[in-house]
Amino acid sequence: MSAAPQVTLESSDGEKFKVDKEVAERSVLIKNMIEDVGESDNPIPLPNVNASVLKKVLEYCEHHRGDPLPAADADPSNDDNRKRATEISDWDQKFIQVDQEMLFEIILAANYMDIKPLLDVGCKTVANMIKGKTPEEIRKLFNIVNDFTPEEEAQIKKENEWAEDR
Amino acid sequence: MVRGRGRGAPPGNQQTSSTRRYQAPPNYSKFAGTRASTVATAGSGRVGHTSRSQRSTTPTTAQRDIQVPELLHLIFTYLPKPSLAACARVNRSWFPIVIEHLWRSVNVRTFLKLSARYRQVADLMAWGPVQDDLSLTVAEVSRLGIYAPCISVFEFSYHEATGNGVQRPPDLYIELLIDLWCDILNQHPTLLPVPHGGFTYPITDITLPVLFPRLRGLRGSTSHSFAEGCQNAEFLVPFRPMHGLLRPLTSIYRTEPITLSLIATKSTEIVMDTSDMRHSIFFEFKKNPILRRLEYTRRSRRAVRDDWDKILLESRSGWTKQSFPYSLKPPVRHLTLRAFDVHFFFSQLMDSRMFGPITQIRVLRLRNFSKMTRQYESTESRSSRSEYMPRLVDTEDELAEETGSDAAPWEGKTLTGSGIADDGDFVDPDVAVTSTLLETASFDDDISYFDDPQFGAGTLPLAVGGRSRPIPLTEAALAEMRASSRDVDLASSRNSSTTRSSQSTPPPPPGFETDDYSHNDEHDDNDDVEESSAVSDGSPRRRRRRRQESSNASSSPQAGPLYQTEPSSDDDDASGPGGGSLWNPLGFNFFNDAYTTEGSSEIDDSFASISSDGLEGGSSPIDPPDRTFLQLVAQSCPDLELLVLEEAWDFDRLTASVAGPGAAGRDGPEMGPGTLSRVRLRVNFRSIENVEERTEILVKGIRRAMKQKSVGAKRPKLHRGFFLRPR
Repeated sequence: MSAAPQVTLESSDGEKFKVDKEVAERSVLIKNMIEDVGESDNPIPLPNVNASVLKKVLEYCEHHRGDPLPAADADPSNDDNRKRATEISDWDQKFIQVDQEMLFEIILAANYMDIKPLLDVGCKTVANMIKGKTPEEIRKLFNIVNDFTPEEEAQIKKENEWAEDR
Repeated sequence: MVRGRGRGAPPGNQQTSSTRRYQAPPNYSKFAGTRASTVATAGSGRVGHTSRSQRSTTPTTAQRDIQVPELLHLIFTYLPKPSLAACARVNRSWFPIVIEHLWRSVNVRTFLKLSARYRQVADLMAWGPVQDDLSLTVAEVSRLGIYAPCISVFEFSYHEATGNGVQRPPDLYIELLIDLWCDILNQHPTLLPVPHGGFTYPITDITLPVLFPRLRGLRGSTSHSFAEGCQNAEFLVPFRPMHGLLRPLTSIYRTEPITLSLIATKSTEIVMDTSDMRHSIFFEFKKNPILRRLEYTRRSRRAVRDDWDKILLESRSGWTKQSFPYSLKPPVRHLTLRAFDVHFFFSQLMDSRMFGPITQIRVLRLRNFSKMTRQYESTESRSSRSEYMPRLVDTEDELAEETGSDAAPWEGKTLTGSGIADDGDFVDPDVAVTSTLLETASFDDDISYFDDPQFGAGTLPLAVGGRSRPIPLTEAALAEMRASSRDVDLASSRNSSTTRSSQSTPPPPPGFETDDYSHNDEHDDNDDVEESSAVSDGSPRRRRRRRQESSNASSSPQAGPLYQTEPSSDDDDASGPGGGSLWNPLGFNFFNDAYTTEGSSEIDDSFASISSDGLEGGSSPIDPPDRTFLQLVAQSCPDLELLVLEEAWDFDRLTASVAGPGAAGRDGPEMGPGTLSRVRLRVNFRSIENVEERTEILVKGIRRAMKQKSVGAKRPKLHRGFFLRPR
């Protein structure tokens, strides 16, 4: 029985990862590269992803290797529906329990490598971090500086208070 | 996808769409060593917008990325409106992004309240004189100019209850909008963009799109009472600038007798909540050439089968023989049905062709209201009045006390003829509802459900609701069933328990997956081993302790992965054009879980909290549909992507609260919690032509889900049962 075809990925810091083609093709970027160029022994460079992040991303891809890929021509309303659901599966929750720096690195890598489900999981996690917090708590969480004047903030609060009790 | 942002893709590597192919050069090595330097977020980026001392510190990745507009857009998609309101006040760079989401779907009164003059009108809640000294200020117009372009759906409610009982038809609000538009043009013509140097034609609702360039829809709601009950409907009418705002709304609201027909044929989204079946409405849906999303809830406990006789009579009387200039094929993408015996409901819709071919459905959600229908009906019919107060049993121990036994009902005992209810009143044994418990007791049987040739052969008629009948199982039969299923299914789990830390659940076969397929079985295996060992140990104390342990353990996130209960976030999320629902005259919107209702937040909240409770405790089982039903789904929905099967429990308390004090009993309505179990099955049918193959995927998916529940999770467990007490 022949082994599954493999591809080599090279992170920005030069580390090489040999993975099953099926796993690597969870990334639309890599899938398109392989389709366009054909299979090659040369490593596929990923200059925007460092080794530690790439390892995490590949862990995700490995776990979800059998999942159906999101349809390219998905109905926008369906897409809306997908986004509205904020539940994250147990495994994904555990997977994404990383520090904030790594979380955003993963989100950026998922975006760069075009892995929609991973991008969704990352964004949902950030959304869950924000949920239920006050503006001050959100600023503190992400180390954001408040550049509103108190009057401006009060006005925005007044204009949007209809949404607060929904 | 966020394109070309963040840390900057290499030249030529920026994607513009998910389908666009990356034009890679023949050699990958071209990219090696071209790591792009980190770019500051352009445009509205806030990096460096603070004090000098802060500018000098290098922002971390997280700090930098949380300011990227495209990422923020993605994140805000998942936030409910209260959180968005908080985010709007975080800083200047977040504000314009947040309000795009927050103000996407907004009530027209909310918008009018941005100006003092129109706030006064809106607050008056009646068409009255406005103080003339209130005029639009420059600041107000500039604020209107900020929010107006974000609005893509205006919400109207026909039943805006007022302090003095006056109801305001929504067209009055449109007239207010026109007044506002006139005021802006007359008083501050330079503050907002006016095409072609101004208007030479009368200012009407036709010109309003200048103020609301993104307006795409009008969301309205109606409520009608009939002899058989009431019917609430929410609808989304597509907005066409050439028609203006006024005409579509008045056409719906001012033609009462045919309102429903208009709504049914002119809306792109319809959420209908009926106390009884309105037979003709599905014929109207069928005529709708633009219907994309339909949610239909039927709250009546009367058997769907009885209603269908009327429908068939109606269809014979000529309803379907009319010809229309439309295709009789509604392009529905999302279909949600909620009813008692919902599988039968769906089957009949398809079988009788009254809803037309629905081949374009991507998401099919079926929610079955608890399985006590028949028994409830029978007890109800015996009583002169349907004044039953449902009684909740919160814990198994309480349940055991109620039944006078320590043994849980699935342990070979049913609750027929049980108990002492609420305040010590003796309950007529015949009144106590037991079918849910019987279903739970027979849950183990479901494991081999599809293996049973009589179900697997697909020879049964569409009697998918047939299994909702309580099956009087003897204790011996239950024990045998449990033992046989354990032999088959639990063995592997026992074996794997030795290496469980290194093994994860194998991936699902290609073609299907359950949403919560992948999870850590470590915890669950413990339960199984414990359960199997408990077969020989049936001492009450031990059992009680075991239940306690099981209950405690199940509060961990790993527990009960498959039968997810309703996430509260789903309920409170009202973002996007599809979200946000209107005030409901009955304060009842529990069944439209994708929507938020201002008037029913209390119900939603209690529901959500109890749902969480259900999740912690292990949840209730889903009644598995038979193969014939799944075959029908596979045949009717070749483009299906998501099948959601739900079981709603504790339904009656909610209806009691809605029906009002008179119906609920002398103590007044009780806000009722509910429990919801759900199985979500993601499928990809597009590459599969054969119906049998598709059916097999569904069957295997559901079977896997059921097995996983049985093997992976704790033993089936009931949280909440009913005791109905006649008054």
